[in-house]
Amino acid sequence: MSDAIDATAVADAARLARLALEPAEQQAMAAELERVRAWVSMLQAVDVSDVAPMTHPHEGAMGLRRDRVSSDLTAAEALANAPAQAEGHFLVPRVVG
Amino acid sequence: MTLIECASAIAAGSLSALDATNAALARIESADVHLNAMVHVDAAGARAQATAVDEAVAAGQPIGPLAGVPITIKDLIAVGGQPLTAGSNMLAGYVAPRDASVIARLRAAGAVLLGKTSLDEFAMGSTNETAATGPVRNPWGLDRVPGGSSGGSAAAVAAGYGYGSLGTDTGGSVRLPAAFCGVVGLKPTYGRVSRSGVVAYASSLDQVGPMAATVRDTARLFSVIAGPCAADATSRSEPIGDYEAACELPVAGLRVGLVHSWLAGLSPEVHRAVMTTYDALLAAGATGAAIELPHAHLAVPAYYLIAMSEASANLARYDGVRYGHRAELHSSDTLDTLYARSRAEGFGPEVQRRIVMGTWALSSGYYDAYYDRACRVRRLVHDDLQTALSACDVILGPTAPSAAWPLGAHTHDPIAAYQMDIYTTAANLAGLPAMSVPVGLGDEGLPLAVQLIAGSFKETTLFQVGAAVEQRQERLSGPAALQAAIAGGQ
Amino acid sequence: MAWELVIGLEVHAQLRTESKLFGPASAAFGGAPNSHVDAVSLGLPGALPVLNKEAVRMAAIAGLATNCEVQRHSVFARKNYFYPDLPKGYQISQFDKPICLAGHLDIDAGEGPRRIRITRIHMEEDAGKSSHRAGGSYVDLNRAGVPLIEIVSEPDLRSADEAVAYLKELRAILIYIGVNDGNLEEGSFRCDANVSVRRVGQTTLGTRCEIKNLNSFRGIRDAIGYESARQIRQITAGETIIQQTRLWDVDKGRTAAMRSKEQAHDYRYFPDPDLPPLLIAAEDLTAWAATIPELPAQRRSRFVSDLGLDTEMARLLCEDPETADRYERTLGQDQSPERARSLASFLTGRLAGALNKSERSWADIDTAMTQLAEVHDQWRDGKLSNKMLTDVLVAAFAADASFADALESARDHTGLIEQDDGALDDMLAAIIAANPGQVAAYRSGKHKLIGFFVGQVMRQLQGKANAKVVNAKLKALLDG
Ligand SMILES: [Mg+2]
Ligand SMILES: [Zn+2]
Repeated sequence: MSDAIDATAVADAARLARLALEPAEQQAMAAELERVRAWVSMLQAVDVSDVAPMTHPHEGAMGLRRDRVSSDLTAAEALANAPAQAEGHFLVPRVVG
Repeated sequence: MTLIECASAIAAGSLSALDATNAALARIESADVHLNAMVHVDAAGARAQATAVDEAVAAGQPIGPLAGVPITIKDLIAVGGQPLTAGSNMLAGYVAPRDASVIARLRAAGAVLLGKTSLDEFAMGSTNETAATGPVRNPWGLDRVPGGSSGGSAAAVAAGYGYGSLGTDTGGSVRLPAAFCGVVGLKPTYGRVSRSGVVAYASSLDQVGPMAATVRDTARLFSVIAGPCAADATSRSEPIGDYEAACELPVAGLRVGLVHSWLAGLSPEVHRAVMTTYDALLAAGATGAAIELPHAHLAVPAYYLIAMSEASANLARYDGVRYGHRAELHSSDTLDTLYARSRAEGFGPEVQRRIVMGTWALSSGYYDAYYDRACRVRRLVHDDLQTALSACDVILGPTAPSAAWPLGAHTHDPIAAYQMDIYTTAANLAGLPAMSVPVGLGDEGLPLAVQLIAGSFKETTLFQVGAAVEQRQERLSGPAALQAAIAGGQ
Repeated sequence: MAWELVIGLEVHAQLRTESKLFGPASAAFGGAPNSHVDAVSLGLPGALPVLNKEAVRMAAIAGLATNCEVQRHSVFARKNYFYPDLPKGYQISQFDKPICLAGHLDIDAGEGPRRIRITRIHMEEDAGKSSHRAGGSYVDLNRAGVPLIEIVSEPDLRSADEAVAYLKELRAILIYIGVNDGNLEEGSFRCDANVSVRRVGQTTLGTRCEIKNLNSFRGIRDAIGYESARQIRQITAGETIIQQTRLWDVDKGRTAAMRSKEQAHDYRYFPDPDLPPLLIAAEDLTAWAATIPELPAQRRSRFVSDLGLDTEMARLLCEDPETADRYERTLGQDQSPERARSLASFLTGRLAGALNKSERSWADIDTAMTQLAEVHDQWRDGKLSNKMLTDVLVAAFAADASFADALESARDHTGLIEQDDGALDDMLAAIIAANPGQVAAYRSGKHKLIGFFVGQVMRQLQGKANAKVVNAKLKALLDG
């Protein structure tokens, strides 16, 4: 499989990422991202087979929370920034079930 | 006047917080038409906070270490009741319901919050040119970028909009603009400062960092925001140092490491600045050490892959459902249209590029070769730095390869722009603290800077060395370019 | 040739914490829409998840109680997809490093004990709720972020009965250890089934379909039955099974494939950078293990071996710990097998029936258990007739007073059977004398007529007679 990023790869990723891109935009972005991909491909030259991936800067335990309810936001605050709402709910186009 | 001098004068009653605040607001009023550094000014709120401080001082009540000191906040950090845009049209109109943890700490310390500073959209940039509200200009050369992504904060501090600012640093976003604008900027150890209430770009790399005119001022700000936070699982509880006291410690006996491979691609004036600083530290009694970072050249690509991957998930919440931009819909439009159009309209081109690239790097078939591999290289970069920091106490190098470049220089070449983070990203990958310290002006009258990197939670070392570097500099006087523009009455 | 079903189950069980998995909002069921929310469950800009330690304890003991190996090091990942009830655009879930691995449950669906392996248990957050109406989909995030464990079995189940037995056993365990309320209707215990079929003797697995939307034991049984029949029919007709997700339609009684577009997912799992690894300290694990009570299997076998109950009764009583506790509390010190059995059927039969017909719940009558035990004992000793018992219970359940008081006064009012043998003997003699025809018929072999004589006695005594004594005496008189 070639890794090269073409318009189809951009279209697939944009669909996963929910970004409406016109075909021309997909083409243009594919060209840009393929250059980025080729550039980051310098990482392929390193032997990392014995190196564990590092996903956090500190690898100790994380802080945990006590199980306590603290009233944080009211329903009114929750909805205050909503573009559309109805009857205390966030409103979106009907999802076909 | 420095931040610490301002705080002392207010505490002593010789300066009223309201006067300091009004002076800062007046400065914003006159200068920001030239700089475009502010995206929101809360004049009424700032005056109310200042008045409260003045009343407390008059009543002899105890006041905090930043009481009455006007400062600005990068608009990636939530201030309760104020707009929070992250520099994006996606969040136009969004009002944050609560303070970020760092803001709560600033308020408790008595700071006066002037308003929000501009940034690259969602902190994705090194020039502040991707901000939805347009580019910020460098006070030292109005045709120059201020650096990014905390460009508004750096410009604000340099221009005297109050005495300090909070930025965020994911791959150099505090240090690079600090260097370009001639101010001090600290990227703390990962986990030292709470990220709660700070819009995430790349969660495993982001840290909030203070910016101010002097190293001591930066230490004061940092002392207030540093510390554990129960609302951030990546927050750490290592003991806090006395950062202001560290600024007074001599550097004699400290080992300063110089990375030779980092000297190759520098502009002559930056090269000179690093070497002069190195020599000065040795002259002050520090010992030198030659440092190798064999994987340093891989830091930037590894950084970008990790940052874009994390960002692709971090920015999924901006979907036009609960807040933020929602596209105009026809009655026949589906949920997917709502998502895809809202996001395409709300996010700018650089953000969309990074989301698509990050989505691609995490998707099946590419995860192992791109995201996972970048995480493995991250460990190599981390291990290099740990090894280096066992041979020295602090690593000295450049913050940026050159002084601030012209606006628009790299807008059509993303890779060239990404390469500007070549010296800063390693500290983010490794989670280490790093500081940019100004070292005078270069040939074109633009600020130059050096970068210091220390071991985990050794910010005290950065303040100790940073203060020593600063001590041998002449204090930069106000940026002449901005003064001229104001005088020109544009 | 015979077919074999191969079933694996994925159970989502809501943990009974006060607050959500990663934020301080209430995890309680219900509430006005979007009232149980915090910055984390709304996915506000800058909100960060912080893991609830109690949820970790609950997940860990769920693992211990199902014979899993609890992992001292586990990792939370992001599962990325867009849906309006998923506020962050990703679900935080454990992926390749879950908290529990490699457990098992022993079940018995009537054909002897079977061991069902558990692949893993992982922790994750629930999504919110969308209700789809004419004007659009309405999103309520009260449920978003509520802690769940997902318990994944190996494909070891071979029938719908086994699947249900496994689910009932798992549900009972989770209820016993206090981590789940077992409520299928409210969705706090729900299940997806992976179903495939193969010829008996075949060792490879057939293509499986995942059935979602199962929210009752009945539904699970029916859905597995429908789906396996569908697959067998297709294969027999020469068609191939397509691996897909299918929804159970309760009303139509069939499974139907989800639209293929909804199935084209690439979740792009990666470790959540906001959450460093979860490390469980050995001391914590030891302390948590000590909080695990007697589990249903142990309790059932104790009820059988120590109290002499039959297996079915033990199973019934042990389905949830409250019932078993109540039974043991009511039983008290006198645990003779005869009394234990009698009291068990008293509680599950007459008392449960009377309760069902009343407005009261078990919780209302719990304080009267000692008195109920006395009532039971008197009934068993023949001091209360069946009718008297019914009268006492009906009166007690109907009264407005506290159940204990109502029971006491109903019993006082009813009184107990006077054991005056002389008076009873006289009455029996009189009845026999007054019904020569029936006596003759009885003696000619119509032994069922004894009921007629008992009825006469009961009528005269208004039901307040010891039926056992009356029976014995009548029998002696008639047979003699
Ligand atoms: Mg599942
Ligand atoms: Zn699940």
